[in-house]
Formats: sequence, structure tokens, C-alpha cells
Amino acid sequence: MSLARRKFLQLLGLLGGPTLFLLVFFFGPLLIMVVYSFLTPGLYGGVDWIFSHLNYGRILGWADTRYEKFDPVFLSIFGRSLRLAALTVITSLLISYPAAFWISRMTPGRRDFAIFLVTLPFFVSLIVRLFAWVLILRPTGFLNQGLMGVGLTAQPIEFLYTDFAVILGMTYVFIPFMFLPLYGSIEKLDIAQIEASADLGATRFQTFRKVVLPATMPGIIGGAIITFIPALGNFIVPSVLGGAKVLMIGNLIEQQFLSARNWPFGSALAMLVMTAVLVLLVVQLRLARHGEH
Amino acid sequence: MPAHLEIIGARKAFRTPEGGTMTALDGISLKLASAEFLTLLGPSGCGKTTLLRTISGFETLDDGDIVIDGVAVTQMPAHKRPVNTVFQRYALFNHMSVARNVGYALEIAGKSKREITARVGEMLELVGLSGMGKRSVSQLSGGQQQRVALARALAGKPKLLLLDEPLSALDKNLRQKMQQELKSIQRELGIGFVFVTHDQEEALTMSDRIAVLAHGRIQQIDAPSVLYQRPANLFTADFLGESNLLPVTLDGMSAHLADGQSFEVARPSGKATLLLRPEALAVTPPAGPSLSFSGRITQTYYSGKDHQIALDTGQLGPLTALIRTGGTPPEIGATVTLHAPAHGLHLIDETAA
Amino acid sequence: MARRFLTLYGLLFFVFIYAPILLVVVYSFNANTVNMMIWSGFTFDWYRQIFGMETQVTESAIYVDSTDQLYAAIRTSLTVALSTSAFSTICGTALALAVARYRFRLAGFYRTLLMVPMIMPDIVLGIALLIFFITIGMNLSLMSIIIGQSTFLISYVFVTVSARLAEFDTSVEEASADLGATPAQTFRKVTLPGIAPGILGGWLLSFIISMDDLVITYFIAGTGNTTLPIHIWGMLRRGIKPEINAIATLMLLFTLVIAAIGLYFRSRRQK
Repeated sequence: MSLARRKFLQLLGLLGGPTLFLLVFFFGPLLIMVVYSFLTPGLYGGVDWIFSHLNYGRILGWADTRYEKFDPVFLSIFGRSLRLAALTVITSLLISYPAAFWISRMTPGRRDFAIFLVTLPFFVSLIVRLFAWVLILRPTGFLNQGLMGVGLTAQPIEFLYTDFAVILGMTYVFIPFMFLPLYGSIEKLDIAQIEASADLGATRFQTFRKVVLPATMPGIIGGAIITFIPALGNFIVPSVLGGAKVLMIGNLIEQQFLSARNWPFGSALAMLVMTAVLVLLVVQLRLARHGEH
Repeated sequence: MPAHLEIIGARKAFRTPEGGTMTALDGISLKLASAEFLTLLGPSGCGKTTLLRTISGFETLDDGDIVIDGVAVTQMPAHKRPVNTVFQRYALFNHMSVARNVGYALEIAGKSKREITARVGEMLELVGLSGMGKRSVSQLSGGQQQRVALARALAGKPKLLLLDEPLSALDKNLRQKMQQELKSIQRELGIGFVFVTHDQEEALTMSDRIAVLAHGRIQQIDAPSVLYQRPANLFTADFLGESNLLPVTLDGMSAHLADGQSFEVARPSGKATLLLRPEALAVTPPAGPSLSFSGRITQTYYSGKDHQIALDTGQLGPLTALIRTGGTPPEIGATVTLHAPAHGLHLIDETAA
Repeated sequence: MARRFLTLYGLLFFVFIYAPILLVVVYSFNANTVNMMIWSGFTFDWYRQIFGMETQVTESAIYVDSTDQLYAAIRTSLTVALSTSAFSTICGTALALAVARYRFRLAGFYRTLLMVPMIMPDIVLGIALLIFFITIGMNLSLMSIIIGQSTFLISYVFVTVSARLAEFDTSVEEASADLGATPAQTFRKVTLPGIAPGILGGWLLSFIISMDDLVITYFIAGTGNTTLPIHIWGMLRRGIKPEINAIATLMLLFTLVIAAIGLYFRSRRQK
């Protein structure tokens, strides 16, 4: 057996199984979901294998039949999801950026430990972390206890089940996603560049705007995208902290599958999320390529 | 005596990340006698490391054959070939002790513990690391790691040892010491060494023969002194040592320089280049016929025993010369005449380049 | 001035990250059975209750579920996590080895492709898997959870092992082959010890993520296969009870132990 052939067989042995598995169980399901989004929902749940574009029509505005009507509420829920995800990105960025800067200036030993501390909560159960915020935000919670204790408010404020609670919860959950890419680009920034800028007469703000910010932009964009994507499709955080009041697209999709049993429509909604994600990734690729030149 | 290693028409191309192809070996043939120290010398990217890796079996040839002791090993995987390698950055097994590193080939071959211990001791003594077998390799200095790599490669008694720029990571003093040691170990063991380097001084001092490589081809393969004094083409002349290259026109039995000087040659006609090594030029004229060059000194460098001077000759362009001037250093701006004996001048046939 | 401000900000950042978790831990020892939000003394009762021991907690405050359901959920989670992490680790390592150690045309393509499962929003993957399993007529079971989680955990292992392979010099493997070791011997004696920390890290990571996965498991678990996160989520939906504090604290402890194991092996590697 020739060398090339032997190597080829080894490679096939390593790649074959996992590739087959992923083709069948990862790409297969996604493909079926795309197909489902173009099928007609059965009257009593289930699905009729008849082509239909009305699932998209109900969301985007051209469905006008007896059972399948356009309702602007779907787009407005999607719009709210985009808004909440964007706000989550902004809060995570504002919270993480100075912290990442601070940590990047520590001595190496401390730095590694600080990074470890930042990533550790990522491994703590999601549901536990959200439960902690329920304890803080509920009417009898620690935040209201504190506010009433210092006399800022007489009546407990309803924090839970608001946009605020959902943004806070998602920010808390996704902080490591924002922090790590940010830290990666901030750490690469040479402190001498900042000194050089100051030396050449720039104020702190000018230095930040003209040197620090452009240099760390790849990290900001990377962090923003990998925070935005899971935030957009999230349904655990809004269902724990947002209750029935703050519906996001994820809750809507869940309903279609587990209570309304309209799988084709649920698939169409999921396609909406997928499309948004794809657009974002293409934008990021473009930006990254642009950055190389 | 049959050739120990023979490479016949070796070709190898790589795909570049941009989608093109890069020819690393463009039809290389060479023979190595047993117990010969052969150096593959060339600038980075010339194919010397690729050639070494095809001998060891890490790369497969697109075309051509590799024969070791009469057996074609072209399609043989690396672990079956009777050659061992000393890697550039040593590639020691960090999770093993020095002794286990050195005894690895024997352990793999299933030799007995006693035999392994004996051979490892012998090898460590050969490279001057007796008693250090129990240490972890990460505790060793760069020079010591180098010795472990050498002992490891020799422990399995290879027919041929391949060395991939093994000394490049060492500092200058240590490197010179290791050069001598490698050479004496090679003589002691009497096996062939194929040594890759880009350092020409290293190549000149250590080798029995040197193969100069460029663009995937052997430019010249010869003993160091031949290579230096009678380079076959412009590349070799320029790559090895300092050189002054002066174009000459040939006319029957004499060669003419641009300034009208001429000397006798045994070559009929065509275009050629005269190679003048800096040390061939002297202030005092030789007894026999000679060429002479006058010019103004534009630069001087003092090297400890000689002055290297750059001379502007006007018509013939700049020349570099290495001269011994006794106590008085040459002065920039001074005019000087230098002479080169007419016998022993080396002409490079330009059609060969 | 600016530096001090930055330090203060950084400390607040860590307070933000850790205070909520610490509150849960502290209040898991709160003896107040009437109002769980007000501290009234120290007790182990909530833990005793989880382990089915006698407590002095009044009947009204006791969460009505039997602990059997909790134990069943933990068992399910452990079974799933052990199988998933083992399977994902094998597949992810094989892919990482192939991509890092063989020159083939599709290597770059694979690297990009394996990012997709990590980027895919989990709800999309969850419903896609649900539709898939129902369409091909496969029963939702432990098996469907294991398959479903593996689809994205393979990528996590791939990334972890690839990172280790990237800093692991190929020439060491070549040296082994050069000294006569067959590919199998080289793999066992050199490659495996070299990338073991990466494999272990990938395995621990996939184990933790599998234990914690809520969304994908939620869609493909079917009835009767409640994992621990789903069980707690169900408890949360029915009301905030103090014993959740204790369960959460125990889960936290579990995570910390696994993280500590990972760190221990990482520090041993660096020595």
C-alpha cells in the first residue's frame, strides 16, 4: 500500500464517523426545518405535506386567508427581540470594556486568575444564575429591601417581568461572551501606543477615540456578535425574568411547538432568527476582510 | 563501493495557501558515499529542508526515487526507514526523562531493559551527558538538549543520520564547539551524515562535500575548497563568501576586461565572468603576470587581522579587497593600486548560470 | 486618579458577577421558614430536606415534590452527560487530529463548518432536532437527548483539542516515527500524552455544558426524561421556594469541583 493511500485511509477513519454523524443529526434537522417552514399546518396539530408560503406571509404581511392571517404582532415581537438583544450587547460592552482594560494591566499571574474568575460563572448552571436574579429583583427581593431601607422608595418597585430585568439577566448570563474577545484585543494593545499618543499631544479622550478604540474594534465586533446571537433567540431568560409580559421571538417559537402545535409556523419564525444570524455573520466576515486591508 | 544513499530525479511541489503551487524540489539527483559528511546548503526556501524530509520519510516525492543501501525507500513510511533525524528544535519528548528519550528507538524495537540501559549509558557518554539520564528534558540547557537529541538519533544505530539545522538555536561559542564534536562523532561512528544549514561557514568547516541548492535544484556539489575556489555558476560564486564579479569578453585564447586588460584563458569564446576573491588582491605586485586595479578607497572595515576596503575603480565599478597593511590603516579617499596574479584566475561560464 | 477609578470599576465588575451567586449560597442557610428573603438565623434544614432527612421546617414551607423526582432528574442528567461527553470527546478529538495533522483540501472548510453548531441559536437547533426525530419516527428518549447534545458539543471538544494540538509541535511526532515507532505507537506514546490535557479539558467542558443544557434538551427530552436543569426550571415556574437555594448551592459546588480538577491538570501540564 502506498504512503499516500495509507494516509488517506487514516484520514478517512478519523473523519468518516463524526462527519456522517454531523451530516445526519446536525445538517439533516436544519434541512428538514427549512422544508417544514414551507409546509401547511394540519388542522389538529401535525403537518400536511402541501407547499405553502403562508407561514412567512403571516409574519411578513401577505397572508390573508381564513386560518392564516397576517398579524403585525409577530414582527413587533421580533423587533423587540432585536432591540433587547442590541441593548444587551451595549450594556455588556459598557460593563466589560473598562474591566477588561483593568485586568489587561495586571501582572501576569493575577491576570490569569482574574480571567479565570470572569469565566467561572459561565460554568455555573444557567438556571441557578437566573434564579439568583429572581431573588434580587422580586418585590420582596434584595434590591427593593435595599432601596426601601435607605428610603429611596416607600413601595416596592416592580423590577421583575420588565424589559429591564430581561436585559439585565441576559447581560449577566452573556458577560463572558463579550468579555473574552474584548480582552483578547485589549491585551494585544501595546501600552506604548497610548503613551506615544499622549506624547504627541492627544488628550485622554482623543487617545481613546483615535488609538484605543480603533485598535480594539475587532474585539468589540467579535464580542458584540457572539453576544447578540444567543440573546436574540433566547427564551429561558425572558420566561424566567420576563414572565408573560416580555415576550421574545424565542418564547413565540416555543409556543408554536409546545402549546399551539403549529410546527410549520414555528419553523418559519426560527428561519427568521437564522436569517438574522446569517446576515450578521456575513457582515462580520466583510468587516474582518475589510480590516485586513 | 555502492552508493550509500542515492536520490534520483526527486521532484516535489506544494500547494500554496493562495492556490498556486510552489516547486520545492525540481529534479534533484545525488549520491552519498557511506561515511561521508554531506551538507545541503542554500538560502531559506531553496528546498534543502524538504529534501531532508523526503529522505526521512515525512514528505513523499511527487516523482523520483530514494535508495538507501540498494533498497528503494520512496514509498516506505518514516518509521521503517533506517535513518534517524536530529531536529532543528530538537523535538524531545517533554513527558519523558533524558534516558527514556535516548532509549526510545530501542524501546520501540522491543529491546531488553538491560540492553537499553547499556546503550543509553554508552550514548550519553558519547555526547558528554553521563549520569544525567534521570533528569527531565525541560531541566536541560539548549546545548544539553541538543546533545540528547543527537544521542537519541544515534542510539538505534541508523545507517544514515540526518541533521536539520541542528545548531541554529545555539549561541556562537557553543555552536563552534558542537561543530567540532559533531565532526569527530561522525568520524568515530563512520556513518553518513546529511546536514542541512544556511550558514556557509558551518558548511565549509564541517563537510566532506557540499551541495548548494537554489530554486529546488542543485547548483553545484563539490568539496568545500573546490566550491569556494572554482564555483560553477554565478549563484554559487555569489552565495559562498565575498566575491568580485567582473564581466569579460572572450576572444580566442584571451579574455578582456572592460578597461582593456587581458589575460590568457583556455576557453574559445562567448561571455563569461571573472571571479576575484577579495583575498586574491594584494598591494604588492606578484612576480609573474598580473592584473592591476587602481581606485579610490571609499570604505574601510577593520576585522582584527585584515582591513576590508571598498575600492571605486571607475571603469570597472566597485571592488572589495581584503588586505594586510601592517601598521598603517588605509585611509578613505586615498588612491591605491591592487594586483591579482594572472594564474589561477577563475572564469565562470555564464551560459552555465 | 484615573487608575484608581478603573480599579474601583473593576472591583464593582466582580461584585456584579459574584454577588448574586453568593446571595444564593448564603440564603441557602437561612432558617426563616416564613419569609425566605429575611435572614433569621443559620440552618442546614434545606440541605437535610434535599437528602430526605428529618427537619423542623413547618409543613407549609416544604416543597411538595418528593425528593425522588429530584434524584431521578440528577440520575438522568448524569447518564446523559457521561454518555454525551464521552461520545463528543471521541468525535471532537478525531476531527481535531484529522484537521491538524493531515494536509487535505477540506481542512479549512471543516474548521469553519465546525463553528456553525456553536454559533447556531440553541432554540433553532432544538426545534430542528425535534422535527427531525418526529419525522424519522424516532422516540424521544435518553438517546435523542444524547444525540442532540452531541451535535454541538463535538464542536466544543474540537476547539479545545485543536488549541492544544496547535501548540504541540508536529516535529515531536515526526521524531517518534523517525525512531521507528509505527503510527499507532507514536499516537500512544507521544501524541496522546501530549494532547491529553486538551482532551481532558474538552471532556470536562462538554460534561459541564451537557449537565447544564436546558434549551435543546427541553425540546427533545419528551416526557419522563427530566434532566436537572429542566426539573429546577419547573420548580421555579411553580414558585420560589427556599430549598432551591440549597439545590443551587450544591450544583455550584459540583461545578467548582470539576473546574478545580480541570485547573489542577492544567497546572500539572505547565510544570
